[in-house]
Amino acid sequence: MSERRSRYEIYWEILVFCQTPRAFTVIINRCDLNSKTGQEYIEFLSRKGYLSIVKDGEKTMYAATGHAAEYITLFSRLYQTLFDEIPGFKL
Amino acid sequence: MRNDVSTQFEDEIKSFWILSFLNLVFAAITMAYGVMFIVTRLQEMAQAGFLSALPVIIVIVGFAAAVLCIKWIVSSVEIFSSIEELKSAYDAREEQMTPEETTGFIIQMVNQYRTNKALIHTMILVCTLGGFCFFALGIMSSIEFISLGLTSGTVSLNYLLIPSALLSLGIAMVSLTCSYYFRKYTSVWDMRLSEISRSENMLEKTMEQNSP
Repeated sequence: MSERRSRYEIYWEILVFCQTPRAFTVIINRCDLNSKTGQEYIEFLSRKGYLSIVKDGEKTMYAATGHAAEYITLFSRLYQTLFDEIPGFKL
Repeated sequence: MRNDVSTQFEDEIKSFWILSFLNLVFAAITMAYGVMFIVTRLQEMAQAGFLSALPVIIVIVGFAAAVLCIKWIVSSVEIFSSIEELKSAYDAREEQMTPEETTGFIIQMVNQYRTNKALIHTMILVCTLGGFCFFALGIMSSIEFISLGLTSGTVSLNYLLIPSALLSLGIAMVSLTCSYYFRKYTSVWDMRLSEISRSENMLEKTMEQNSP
């Protein structure tokens, strides 16, 4: 199912998961991405200031920033609106 | 978290699960009935020793319905297994759901629809065609039941055809009802997908504004 996700949904998943600092391989495994696309997404989010690099000894970890919290809130609000405002399906 | 969104989400996931399950069950029943119907009619034709138009038409329509049933079952299994997977994951987390998990399940539901959209549209078509095929079979069986009495010139009726006609009409009704609800489901989700497209524009703008 993962290949049907939009890039904004993938950004949301990465940012929510990185609320606690995470390593690259853990992120791509959890978010079901291959290393190439995972790298692209993480680089994009880092460039935009949504992820910051945290050094844990030798390890490079990625952590969501304050901007990410805004994005997560906005995204969640927009997606929950889908069930709030549009009449639902019921038998 | 138990709020309006999660309650509506839960209702919706359950409703679609029930619809998919019913659809699968009736597809299986229809398949079995269709095969039984064709075999019985062929036996009757072989025993009669001659071919008359109506039974031949009934067998052809029955055969078309059986072929549709194969497609119906395969599509039903695919749709049911995807919603079953989602429902099991949701049920396991239901009581201690965080707002983020609720959003995560909404994303999965959106993806479930995106993945199965073409299949659900096929299902609408198959259910509608299947419904009309069985409706035609039911009507033909009913006509046969009446015409037997008329041609013999007596009031005697072939009561053995009543269960067959009722079953065909029943399956036709369920099939057309499934088609109606699948159509309703797609109209709700198509509306949501267009709303998501609008939301993505907003998210893109936000990301551009927040760029360092």
